[in-house]
Amino acid sequence: MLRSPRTRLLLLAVAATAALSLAMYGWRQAEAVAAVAAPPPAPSTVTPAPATVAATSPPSPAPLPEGWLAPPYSSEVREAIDAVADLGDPAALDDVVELADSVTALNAAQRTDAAPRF
Amino acid sequence: MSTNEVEAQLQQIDQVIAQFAAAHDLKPTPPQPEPAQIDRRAFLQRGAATAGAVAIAGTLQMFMARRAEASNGNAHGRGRVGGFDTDIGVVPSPYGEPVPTLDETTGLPLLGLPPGFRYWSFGWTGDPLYPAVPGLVTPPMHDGMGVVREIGPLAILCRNHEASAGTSFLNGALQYSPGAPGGNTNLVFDRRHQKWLLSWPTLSGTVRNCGGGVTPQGTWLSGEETLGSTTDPADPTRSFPHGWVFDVPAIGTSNGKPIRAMGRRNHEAAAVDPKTGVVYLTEDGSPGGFYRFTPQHRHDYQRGGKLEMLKVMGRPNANLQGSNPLGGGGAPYPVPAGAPLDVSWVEIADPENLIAASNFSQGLAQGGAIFRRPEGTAYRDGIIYFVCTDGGRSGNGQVFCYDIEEQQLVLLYDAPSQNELDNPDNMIVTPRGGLLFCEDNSGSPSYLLNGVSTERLVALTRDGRIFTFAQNLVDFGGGTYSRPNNAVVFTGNQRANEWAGACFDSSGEWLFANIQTPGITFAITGPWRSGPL
Repeated sequence: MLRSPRTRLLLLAVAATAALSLAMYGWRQAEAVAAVAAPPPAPSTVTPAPATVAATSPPSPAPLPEGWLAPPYSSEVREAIDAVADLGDPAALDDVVELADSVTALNAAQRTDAAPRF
Repeated sequence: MSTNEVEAQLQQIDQVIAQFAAAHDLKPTPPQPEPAQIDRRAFLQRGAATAGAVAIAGTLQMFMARRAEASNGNAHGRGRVGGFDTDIGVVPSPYGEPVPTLDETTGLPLLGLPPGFRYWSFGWTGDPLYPAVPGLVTPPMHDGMGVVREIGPLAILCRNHEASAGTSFLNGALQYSPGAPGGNTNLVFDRRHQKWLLSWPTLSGTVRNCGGGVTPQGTWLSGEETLGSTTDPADPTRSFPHGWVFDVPAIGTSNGKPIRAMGRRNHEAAAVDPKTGVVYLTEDGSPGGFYRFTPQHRHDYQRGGKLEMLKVMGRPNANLQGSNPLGGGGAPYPVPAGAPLDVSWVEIADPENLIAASNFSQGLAQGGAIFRRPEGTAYRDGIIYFVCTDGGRSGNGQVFCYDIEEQQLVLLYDAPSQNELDNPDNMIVTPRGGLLFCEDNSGSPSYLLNGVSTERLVALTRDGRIFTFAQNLVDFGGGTYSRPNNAVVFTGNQRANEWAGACFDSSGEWLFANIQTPGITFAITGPWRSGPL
C-alpha cells in the first residue's frame, strides 16, 4: 500500500489539510470558550455615554401620575393599570387612568346616589 | 517519498493534533451515526410530495363537496361579488372540525372549537358588575358586541343586552327610561395575561338592544329592536317611546339620550363607512328596510343628519325577500343571484314618526326596497355586507353586498338549507377577509348536531367555502350550575340558543362572542392564521 508516490503525496496533502482545519476549529472553539469563561473586565474608569445605555436598555416606564395607586382604585382597576403601566407608554397610561377614573367615579356616584332600580 | 516517510509525517501530524487538542481540552468528535436513511434533500422532496398530496386531497375534497352542493342547487354561477366567489359550497373546517373544548375559566365544555383553540368565559348573567353596588349584576340576553377601544393589552368591549321585560337595572345619567331593562355593559379583557378584568354598566333603561356597530371614533351604536313604549314605574304619566339608537362610549357611560335623527324603528345593526362617516343601518322587520344616515357632524350624531332608505332603481318596492313564502316573501328574487341591482336612496323626512306611521312606510311610499329581517351588517373596503336572517329561497338566510361607490346591491349568498347556514344574525368581516355569521334560528327548525339542535358560528371564505367554525355546547343537562356571587342557577340544554356579538380585536388574535341565553361572553384565541378567518 501507498506504493505510488502520487497517491502518497495526495494522502499527505489531504491529511495536512484536515489537520489544519481541525487545528483552526480547535483554536476557534478554544477562543470561544475562553471568551465565555473570561472573567468580567475590570471596572472601566470611563463611564459609558448615556446615549449608548439608552439605546441598549429597554425603555424605562414612564413616570406614574401622582396618586395612581390611590385608595379609591379597586383591585380590578389596579390590575388594569398595572397591565398598561408595564408598557412604559405615557399615552396608554393616560388612557387607562382615564378608564380607571371613570369607573371609580361611577362607583362613587353609585355609592352616594339613590339605590339602583332592578 | 517512501511509505515510511509518509507514515512518519502522518504520525507527526497526529501528534501535533493530539497536543493541540490536549492543550485546549478538545475531545474527539464521537463517531457520527450512519447518515440518516433519508437525506435532507430527499426529506424535503418527500415532505413536499406529502404536503402536495394532502393539499391535492384537501382541494379535491373541497372541490367534490362544492360540486356536490352545486348539484343540490347551490350554484349561483361563477363570479365574484364584494370580493367573494359566488360558487359557494360546504367544506370541512380548514381549522379542523370543532371538538368539545373546556372553558379555561370554569372547566366546563361550553363550546365546540377547532383543535388548538382556547377560550375564557366571563360576564355571565347575574355576575356582579363594577361598581360593587349590592344587586347591580350583569343583565341577561347578551347580544351585539364590538371592540370599541384598545389600550395596550387591554381590549374594551361594549355589549348589548336584549332584555325587554322589567325595569331599569341602573339609574343615573346613563338611563333613558326607568321602566326598561335593556342596555349596555362594557368589559375589559387583558389580552397579554389572558384575563377578564371588569365590566360596568354604560347604558340603561332601553328595550331590546339587539345589534349595533363600532364607529370610527371608538364608540358603539346600540340599537333598540322595538317600537313600543315604557312608562316610569314611579310616575305612569311619564312615557318613553323606544326604537332608537344610542351612542355608547368606550370609557365612562352614555348620556342616555337617543339619536332621534337616525330614526325610530326596529333597529338592528349599524356599519360605518370610515371614509365618509355615513352610517348604514338595518331594520329587523319582516318586511324591513335598509337605511343610511348621513350625519351633520361625523363624530357627533346628536347634531342630526339625513336618513334615507334604499330603493332599487327601476323596480319600485322591489321584493328582495326571496321565494320562501314564510314571513311575507314568496316572490322570486328579481334577478339571478350575483347580478347587480342599481340603487338610489329615498329620504325619510320624519325619522321620529311624529306624523308618519313608520320609517318603513315612508320609504315604501317612495318605492323603497323590501327585505326580510335585515340584521347583522359590517363594512370592509368600500362594501357594506348585511344579512337577512329569514330571507331567501329556503328562509334560512341571505347575504347581501352593497358597493358604496358603484351604488349597487348584489345578493351574494342564498342559504339552501339550515344545515349549511341556519338564520344568520350578527355578522362580521374577519381579519383575514372572511365573513363570520352568528346563527339565530329564531324558532325555525334548526341545524342538528348528533340529533341535538345546536347553533353555530358559520364562516364564509372569499373563495366560496362555507364551514362551521364553532358550536354552542352549553348544556347543563338535568343538573345545575352556580357561580360565586351570582344568584342565578344555570340549568338545562342551551345549545339551541343564538350566538351573538362576534367581533375581533385589531390584532386578529382574539375573537369575542356571546351565547345570548343563558348569557355568557367568551374570549377565544388560537391558530387563526392557519386558516382563512
